[in-house]
Amino acid sequence: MKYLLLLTGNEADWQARGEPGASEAQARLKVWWDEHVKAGRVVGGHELAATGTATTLRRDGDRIVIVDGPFAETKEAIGGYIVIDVPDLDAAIALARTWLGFDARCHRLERTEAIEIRPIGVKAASARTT
Amino acid sequence: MKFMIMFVGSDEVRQKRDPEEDRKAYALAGKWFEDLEKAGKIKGGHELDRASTAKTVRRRGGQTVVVDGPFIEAKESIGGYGILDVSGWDEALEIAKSWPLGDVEVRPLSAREQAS
Repeated sequence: MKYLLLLTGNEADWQARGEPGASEAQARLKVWWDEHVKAGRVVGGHELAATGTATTLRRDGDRIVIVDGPFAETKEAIGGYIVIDVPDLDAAIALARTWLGFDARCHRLERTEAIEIRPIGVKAASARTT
Repeated sequence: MKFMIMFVGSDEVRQKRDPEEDRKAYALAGKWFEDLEKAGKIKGGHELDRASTAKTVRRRGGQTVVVDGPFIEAKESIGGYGILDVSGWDEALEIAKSWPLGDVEVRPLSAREQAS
């Protein structure tokens, strides 16, 4: 069964961290990633740019209105996502915990605060994979 | 340049659609994805189950707790997403405008992802 993990946290903290790629956290992340890809549990995922770079298109009758920023302004923001393929929700929760566990060993600024787990729609899952 | 296009949805709207409307919406969305995949503009994407099916794993001190529901309680949530691989913002926005079903957020992937 496929699930989407939405990685969320405090964006001000993320922006305060150093250059990507250099930190120990990045090396740890790669180990986590490679291990779960190899085991077939992680199917794909990406890190997103900051919400300040987002553009939202909204329908207003027949018109489309373009506004700067994400669709929801929230203290916690989505910073990335991971698509996983595991037997059930318990396994998805266990995997999400290992991400947070991995994170806990890292510098405070690298932390994901919460992970939302959402089942991927059955129709879409059969038609498309990342 | 790579972007994530997030389809903004609400459980309320989904539940209100009758089966015929639902069928039409799927056909439109399916065609939109198919055309863009053929053109090499979309690299993967998924539809998500309703926001009410979400669980959130949260850090609490040194522990993690699991709570029902999405990470923010809001009227709108992400109903699905696609990854665009296009020439830049102009093309990304043109494609976003052509999405047949509702509101969308378009956001670049991080600099690290753009490079890989």
